[in-house]
Amino acid sequence: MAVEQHIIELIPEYVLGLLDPVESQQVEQHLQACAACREEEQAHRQVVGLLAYSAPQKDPSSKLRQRILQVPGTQAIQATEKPIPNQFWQKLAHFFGSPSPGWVALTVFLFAAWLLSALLLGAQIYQLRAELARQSPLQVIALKGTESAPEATGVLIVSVDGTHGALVVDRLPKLDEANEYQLWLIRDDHRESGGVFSVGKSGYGVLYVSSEEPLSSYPSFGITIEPAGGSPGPTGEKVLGGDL
Amino acid sequence: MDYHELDDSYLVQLITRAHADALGELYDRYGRLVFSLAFNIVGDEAVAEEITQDVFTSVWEKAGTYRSDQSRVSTWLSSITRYRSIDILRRRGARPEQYSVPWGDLHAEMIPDQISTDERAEELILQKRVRAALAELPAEQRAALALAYFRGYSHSEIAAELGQPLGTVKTRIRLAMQKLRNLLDEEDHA
Ligand SMILES: [Zn+2]
Repeated sequence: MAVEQHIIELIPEYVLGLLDPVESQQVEQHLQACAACREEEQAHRQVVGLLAYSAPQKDPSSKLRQRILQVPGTQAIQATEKPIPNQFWQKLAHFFGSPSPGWVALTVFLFAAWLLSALLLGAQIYQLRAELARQSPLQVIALKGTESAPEATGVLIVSVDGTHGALVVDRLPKLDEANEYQLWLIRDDHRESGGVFSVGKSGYGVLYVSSEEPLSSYPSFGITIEPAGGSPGPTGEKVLGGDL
Repeated sequence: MDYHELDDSYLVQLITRAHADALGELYDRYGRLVFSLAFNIVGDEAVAEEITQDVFTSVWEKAGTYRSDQSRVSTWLSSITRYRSIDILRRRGARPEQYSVPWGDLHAEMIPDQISTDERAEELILQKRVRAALAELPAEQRAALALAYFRGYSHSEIAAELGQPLGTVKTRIRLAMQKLRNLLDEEDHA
């Protein structure tokens, strides 16, 4: 899209996240080149930001503050350099802490899978996959690293009814703070977000996945690098992919 | 250091240098805003608390990505909150029980006058400003915008929900946002 064609009329929808990925990308490209539209974008972002104040206000429980400060507080004591929180353990603790239907068996299974995958590296993960497929009614989908991340491996474990799943990845590069990995559920031209996650230095990461439509109805899955928080559609490099 | 006196973006700078007290102060200022927004999107207190925890954890980890020249800290926080909440809403595949989105009756929803601190006072002023601006929108524009903002609906989902053509929905959202931009921007410079 040429710089001459301003995209001012698309900005409200862009900042609300209503545009499809193609339109979004066009807007982003234009914004990089056009200060006038960028100013308009920032003004609209402020409006969307202010809308948060329109929601009826409500106090969280008083324990929440403590819970939030617990993690960084203890680590900051000896910190001259900022500590890197172990996201995997935080997330795992989080799963154990918030039961939802049908997840318990999955979590136990996930944990076992993670322990195993921690021991078995590289090609062995595919043996694990075969093993799991024989022993368990859960579906296990192997994900292979692309040229961008040839060492990376992953498995997506899908519950019997197909509505819940867990993604375990290994040997993915740790990203800088501005980026996260995002899982995509792929059917034809459609890309549905399965959630965003990060990996620590070890390259391990875990994501609990659920979807409006059964995960087993998606023939393919992919993981891309996206700006922190994720994108409406894939925009970054693909690092892992696999088929049902 | 008296964290109470520091401005928002300086607090975020301190957080990048692992000052846990700065995170505590930021929570005292915006924890309620973040939690309330999450609650109004997902309609569940426990989930809203998890989201709030998640938002402040990611602030701790990613404070370096904040750009003070581009947005207020509250805008940054609310955008992380809104994105996460909508993502969870979609992934759960369930809609909140009490289906109605806020803004049903902006005139009737009075804001309590319990001003205890300066920060709360500022928060209440912002709430009143934003609600007054929303009250100036035609009801049908407000309804379309509410579904986009609080439910993360796409154009076609909004059209289906409101029983209106897609083009009408798009126009309403654009007009609503432009009017809000003018109303809230004018006041910024007033
Ligand atoms: Zn332009």
